[in-house]
Amino acid sequence: MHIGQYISGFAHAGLIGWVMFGGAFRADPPPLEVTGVSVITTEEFEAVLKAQEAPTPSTDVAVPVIPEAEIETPAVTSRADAPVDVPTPTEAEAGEPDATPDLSDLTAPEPQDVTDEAPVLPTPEVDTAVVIPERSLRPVPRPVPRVAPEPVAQPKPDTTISDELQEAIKPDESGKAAEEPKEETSPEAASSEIVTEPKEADAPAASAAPSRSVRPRVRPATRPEPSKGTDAAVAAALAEASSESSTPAAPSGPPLTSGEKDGLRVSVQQCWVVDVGSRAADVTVTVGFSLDQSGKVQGDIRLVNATGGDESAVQTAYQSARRAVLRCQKTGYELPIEKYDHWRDVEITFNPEKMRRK
Amino acid sequence: MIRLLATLLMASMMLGQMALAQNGPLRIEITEGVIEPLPFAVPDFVAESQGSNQISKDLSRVIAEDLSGTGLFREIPASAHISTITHFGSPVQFADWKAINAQALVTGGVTVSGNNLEVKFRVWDVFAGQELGNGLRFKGTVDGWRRMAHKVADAVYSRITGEGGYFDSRVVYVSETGPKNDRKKRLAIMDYDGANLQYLTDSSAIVLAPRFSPTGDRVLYTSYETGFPQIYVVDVGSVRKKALSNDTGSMSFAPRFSPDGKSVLMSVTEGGNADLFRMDIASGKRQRLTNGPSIETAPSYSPDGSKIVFESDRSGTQQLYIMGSNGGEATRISFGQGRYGTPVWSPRGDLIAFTKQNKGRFHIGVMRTDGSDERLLTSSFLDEGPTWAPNGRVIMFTRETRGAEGVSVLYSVDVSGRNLKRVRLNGGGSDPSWSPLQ
Repeated sequence: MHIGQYISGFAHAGLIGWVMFGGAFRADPPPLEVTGVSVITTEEFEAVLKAQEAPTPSTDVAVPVIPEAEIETPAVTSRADAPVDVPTPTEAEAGEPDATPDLSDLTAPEPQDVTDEAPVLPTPEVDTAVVIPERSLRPVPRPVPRVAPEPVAQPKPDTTISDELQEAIKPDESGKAAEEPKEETSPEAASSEIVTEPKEADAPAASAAPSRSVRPRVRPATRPEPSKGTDAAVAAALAEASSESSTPAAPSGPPLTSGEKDGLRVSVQQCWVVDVGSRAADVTVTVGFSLDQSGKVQGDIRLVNATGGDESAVQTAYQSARRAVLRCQKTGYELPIEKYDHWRDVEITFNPEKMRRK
Repeated sequence: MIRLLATLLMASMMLGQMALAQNGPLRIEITEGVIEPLPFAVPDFVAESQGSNQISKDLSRVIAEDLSGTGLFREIPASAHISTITHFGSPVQFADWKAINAQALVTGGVTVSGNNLEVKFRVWDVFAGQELGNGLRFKGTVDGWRRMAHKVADAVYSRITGEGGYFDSRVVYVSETGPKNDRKKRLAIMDYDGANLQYLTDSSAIVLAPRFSPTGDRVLYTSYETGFPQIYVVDVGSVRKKALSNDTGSMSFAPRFSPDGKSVLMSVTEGGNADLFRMDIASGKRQRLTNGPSIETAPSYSPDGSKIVFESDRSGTQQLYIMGSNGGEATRISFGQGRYGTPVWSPRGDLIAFTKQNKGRFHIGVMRTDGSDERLLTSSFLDEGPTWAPNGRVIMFTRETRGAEGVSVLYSVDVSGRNLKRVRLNGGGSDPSWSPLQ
């Protein structure tokens, strides 16, 4: 018990003595920073002060525009700025004006004849992927129907358009007229309603133009005379066979490009409203219809095929598809008129499989 | 040589076929459409008798609200209409309705004679320029004009979507008033849109989990009237109740009618273990359907009555199982993360709605009957207790907000996950059950 206290006492006394006299916690003195001092004369000191004087303020200083950008604070350095040499401004001599350029060598391009013909654009390949669907310009603008409370028949070609109906008063053969001669006037032709869809009864009278171009006639088969031998008979048989194999309903002209097809597809799909929670969303329907040359639906839209769903769901899917086709036709789908044979009859399949996942 | 000639012949025949194929109609496939409400117009129905002016306007408004409330239709306001319908039999000026992009048009006429009300209407596909189906005429009383409006809306919905409607239906639920620590609960019944509220019980005893019968004339529910949870049935018309189970030695809860309405599925707890039973309502006899140490509860029949879906913790966590209507081997159908409960078979038979708890959030979801194609429709602090609309298109459920001041209210959501909206209620509510069409 006492031995321990003794050992502890000695140890503490030793430690205190070592701290006091041994310099255990004495740190090395910090290094002194030595700076050289030079003795200068009063004249030199005045010269230094004069050099540091601020320049005379000038009133002709443009107000600096405060920059919007954040100004970075420059790093502070211990080095003193060097005295700035202010050079004496010298008046600048006016330079000689620039020499007028010699334009004699330049010749204006000769004006070219402007024609109404559209430039011939290179036809893209059928398989070229396009983002924007190609649309062919419609060559003939459609007449805008005029609507009036009372329908007015088409006036004669020489009739002047006026609000009032007035018959022409012409001098008779003798050159005299009972009244002052007047020009025949008539109101502009109008209809009491906008006919949005051709009626069946009006269909034949709607246009006297043929709906399709007449195909060139096939040359009549030349029947050989019996006296010309076997070769001629074989040739005649071949000619007859070739004429029978021709298909009169084949469309003429190049087929629609993928861009043109995409144009029609995009036009219809933006009107196709899909109810993804309904049973009709399980049905894929194909509808068929005919278009007239202005791109409008002619007649009924018929259900061609349907897969999935019960009868009620099929009917709903068909109605939705029909609405899409009819709603988005507006004034007619924009398709190239020169390829009408290729898009006269259309079948569109509405497949909602991807939509169901949304 | 002969092979070469045959190959050339085949190739030429194929080319010929391809050439012929190009001569057919232009064929296009569309796989992308738009998901947006269908614009429709319901001009005020024509008042065809004196005293029917107001009711014709009110009818039109309820029909429009029913259709717009589905999220599938968007009403074009009357201020945008170009045409007015002055006679029910007048031809429709389709161009005027096309001009405002109305894709469907509902026209109608109303005749009031004493307390008798007659409503007739037609639905038009504007862009096809033809009527959808034939005109219909409903007769009833002036008092029931709202039901008449719901019936017209159901018919319109059905003509356009090809599916049955759900507007002429009711919802029974637990009405909740007061703070969380002293909440008064009683059974309430209302139209699907919150109108015509009526209470079936008082707030003297805690009531839970009301369930409509397949014909909508009775309601099953669980009550703590005796201190133990027991199952009662109440007649909706007369509001008379009767205890179906009165066994003081056990607790019975989570009842649900069979599709024929003659028996009741329920969960009964005996000795701390809950199993599924079927009770014949007429005789009161019970048949055990499950027998195991795990907790089986929340049974629900398939529409044809051949199968039962229920929740069980037999695998260690709460999951969904399907078994035959007489019990037997059960097949687990839920395998996702979290716990699944309160399964309800869709009236269509193709989906099962459920409550899912995962990572501290509750969800209402649907999956196919084999457990595939699971989709979560909602997410919140507490969503639970789904019930199907009679057409299997909409799900109603309870949503409770967080905290001591939190309240329970009813929400509905389309089966596609769209059109989530709060149900118009007088106060709080929970545990909804949707009736069949009336």
